[in-house]
Amino acid sequence: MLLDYFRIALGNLTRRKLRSWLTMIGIFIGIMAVVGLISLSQGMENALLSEFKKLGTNRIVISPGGAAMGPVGGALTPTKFTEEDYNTVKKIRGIDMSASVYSASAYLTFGKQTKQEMVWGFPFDSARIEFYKTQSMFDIGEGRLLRPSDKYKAMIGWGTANELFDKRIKVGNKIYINGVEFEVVGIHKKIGGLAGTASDNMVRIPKSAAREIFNKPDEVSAIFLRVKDGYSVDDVAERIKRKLRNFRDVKEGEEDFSVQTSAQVIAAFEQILGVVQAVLVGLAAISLLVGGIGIMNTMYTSVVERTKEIGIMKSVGARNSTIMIIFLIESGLLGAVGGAIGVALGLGIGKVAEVIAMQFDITSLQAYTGLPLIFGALLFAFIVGAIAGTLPAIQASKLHPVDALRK
Amino acid sequence: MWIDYFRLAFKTFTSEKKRTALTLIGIFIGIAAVVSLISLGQGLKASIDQQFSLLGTDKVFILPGTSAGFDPTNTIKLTSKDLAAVRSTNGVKSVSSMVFKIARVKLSGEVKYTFVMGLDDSDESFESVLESFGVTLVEGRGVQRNHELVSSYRISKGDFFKRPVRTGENMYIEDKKFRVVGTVSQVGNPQDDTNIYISIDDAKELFGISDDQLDYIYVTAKEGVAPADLAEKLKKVLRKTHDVKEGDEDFSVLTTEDYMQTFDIVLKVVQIVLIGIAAISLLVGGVNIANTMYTSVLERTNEIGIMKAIGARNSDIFLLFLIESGILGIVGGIAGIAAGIGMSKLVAFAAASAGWTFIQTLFPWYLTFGALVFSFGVGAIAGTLPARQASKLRPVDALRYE
Repeated sequence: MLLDYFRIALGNLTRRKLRSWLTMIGIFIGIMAVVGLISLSQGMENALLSEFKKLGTNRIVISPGGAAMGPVGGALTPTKFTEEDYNTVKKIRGIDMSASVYSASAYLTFGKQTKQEMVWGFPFDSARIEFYKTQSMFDIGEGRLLRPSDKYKAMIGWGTANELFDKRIKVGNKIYINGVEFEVVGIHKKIGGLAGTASDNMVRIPKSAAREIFNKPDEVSAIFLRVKDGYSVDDVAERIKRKLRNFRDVKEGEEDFSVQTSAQVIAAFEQILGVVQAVLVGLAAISLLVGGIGIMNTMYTSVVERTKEIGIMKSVGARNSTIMIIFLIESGLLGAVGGAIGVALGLGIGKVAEVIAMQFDITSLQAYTGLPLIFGALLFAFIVGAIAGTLPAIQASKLHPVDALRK
Repeated sequence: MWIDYFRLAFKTFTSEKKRTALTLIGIFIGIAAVVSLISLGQGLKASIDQQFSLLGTDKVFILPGTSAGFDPTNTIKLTSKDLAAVRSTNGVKSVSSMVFKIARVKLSGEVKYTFVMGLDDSDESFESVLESFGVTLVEGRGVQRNHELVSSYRISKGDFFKRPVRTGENMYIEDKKFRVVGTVSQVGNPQDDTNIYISIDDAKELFGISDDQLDYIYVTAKEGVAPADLAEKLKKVLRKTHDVKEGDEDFSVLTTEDYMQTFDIVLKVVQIVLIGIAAISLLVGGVNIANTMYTSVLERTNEIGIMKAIGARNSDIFLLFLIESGILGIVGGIAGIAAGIGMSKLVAFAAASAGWTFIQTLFPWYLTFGALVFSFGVGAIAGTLPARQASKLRPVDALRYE
C-alpha cells in the first residue's frame, strides 16, 4: 500500500525530471550551506572543549577584580590579593590542591636582545610538582620541570624559546629577567594555545624568585584550585565566595574578586561560539526557506497538472487522505533527496576547509561529521519538503472528483 | 510591439497568481536579506569614519603589541623611555600618554566596575586630549586638579548607576574620593559610554602603575609634517628603544588613516562573509525562477506553436519569456529592497535602544539601484535557458504537443 504511494510519487518525479532537479537544487544548496557551517563551527567548538577538558573540569580560578573576566581580567584591575586571601580560602572543605601565583610582565634579555614577556611565579614543592606533572600545560618538551631546590631557574614556553628572540633559547642557556640571571632548565611543549587558557609565550620561575626580582613580598595575582572528587565544584565555589566576602569585607554583588569554575569558563566560550553559529547558520537557513518555497511551487504546479489523474483516482475509490499522502510523499522525497545531496556536499565543504586550514597550521578547525548532524539535516530537509507540500497536498485532496474529471 | 510583450507577460502572471507569488517571494527574501546587511554594514562604516574624523588627521597613535585596538590579554607596555624618545623626535608637536584599568567605582553606596582612563595633559589641555579619544566635552570642564574626574554619556544619563551623575558631585574610585567636573559626548557603544577619565598622575598612584607601564601614546604632528612620514620616523625611533629589527616590532604605530583602514578591512571581511552566505538564498531564488519559467514554457507549448505559425520569430519568443522572467526578478527585487530597508531600520532601532547608537543604516543610491539591477539580472539569467528552449521549439511539434 505505502509502497504504491512511493511508486506513484517517484513516477511523477521522474516524469518531470528537469523540474524535480531544479527543485532539489534549491534544497540542496541550502542544506549544503547549513551543514557546511555547522560542521565547521561544531568542529571548532569540539576542539575548544577538548582543550578545556584537558585542563580539567574540577578547577576553580580566583582572581582579583569584580568584572568576571577570569585570569585575563587580573591584569586589568588595580585590586590586589595577598597571601592572606589565599590562606583564607585554601583550607575550605572540598579543596584538594591549590596554588597561589604571582605574575607580572617583565623584561627578558637573551644575548643582546631585550623583550617583554609574561613571567609567572609558581610554588614548586614536591606535592605540587606531582600535580603539575598531570597537567598538559606543564608538559615538558625538552629538559625538565623545576624542582623544589631550584631558585634562579626557569621553564619557558615553546614560543618564548623559539620565536621571541632571533636566536633560539636552548636548555642550559642563561636568560635575564629584569636583569637577574636565570638558567633555563625546561622548555614546554607547543600548546598552540587558545586565548585565555594557556599560552606558548611565558616564563615560569619559582615563586620565591619572582617575589625577589619583582620586589612583591606578599602580592598574589591569582589562586588556582582543584576540587576533591565527590565534592560539587559549584558548592565549593559558593563557599569560597562567602569566605572571601567576609575576609575582604564586601557585600554580595559588590565583590572585588571573581571565582570562576571551569564549567563557567567553558560556558562563556560556548555562548560566544553559539551566537556566531546562530548568526551564520541563520543567514544560511534563509536559502532553505527559499528552497522550501520552490518545493511548494513545484507541488502546486504538480497538483494543477494532475487534476485529471486525481479525479480518476478519487472516482475509483481513493480517499482524501490517500491523495494527500501521495502528494506529501512526493514533496517529502524532493526535500529528502535534495537534503541527502546537500549533506554530502556540505560535509565535503567542511573537510576541504579543514584541509586548507591545516596548510595554514590552524589545527583547531576540524570538520565535525557526526551522525546527529547528518541525520538531523536529512530529517530537516524532509520536514521542509513535507511542510512545503502540505498546502498543495490539502488542495489536491479536497478536489471534487466530478470537477477534477471534467477539467 | 514592446507593450505587447509586457502585456503578454502580465497575462501569464495573473493567470498563474499563486505560482507567480511564490516565485516572487523567493527573490524577495534573498534581496531583503542582502539589502539589509549591506545597509547596516555601510551605516557602521559611516559611523566609524565619522568617529575617526573627530580624532583629526594630524595624529599618530602608538600602541603596545602588534594588533590595532586594545587587546586585554596584552602584557607588553610602552615605557617612559619610549615616551621620551617620541617626544624628542623631529616633527612632533605634542605628546600624550594614557593608562587604563577596570576599577571599582562607587556612587552613593552603589558599586560598579568600569574602565578608568588616566590621561596625560602635560602638553595640551585635558579637553583636547579627550578629543583625541574621539569624545568631546559637553558639560563642565576638563580635569585640572588631582581627584577630579570627567564622566561619560551613560553615567551622566543614569544608564549606569541607578541615578544620573551631575557635575559637582562626588564619586569614589577604588575608595578614593573624586569630584565630577565634566561629561563627554556619546560614542554610541555601551562600553565606551561608561568610561571615566582622570589625570594620569591620579591613575598611576591609584592603580600602582609605574612610568614604564603606559598603555597608549599619541602624538600630534607639527604643521606641515605628514603624519605618515612621522609614523615612519617614530617606528624607527621605537625600534631602537625596543631593540627590534624591522618586521619584529612589538608595538604598532598608526596614523588616523591606518587606523581607519584596519577597521575598514575587518568590517569588509565580516560583511563579505555575511552577505556571501545571505546571497546563497538569491541563488536559490534564481533557480526557482528558472523552474517557474520551464514550467511556463511547457504549459504554453501550444501557444508558442500558434504564435510561431502566424509568424512570430524565434527572437520574439525568446524576448517574451526573458521579459517575463526579468519582471519576476525585478518585482521581487523592489519588494525585497523595501523589506530590507525596513528590516535594517528595525535592527538599528533595537541596537540603539540597547545603547548601540553606533549602529546605523545607510541607503546610498547605488545600493537601491544596484539591488534592482541585480534582481533583474538574476531573473533574466534564470530565464535565459527556458526562453531559449521556448524559442527553439518547432512550430509543428509545438502545435501537436498535448
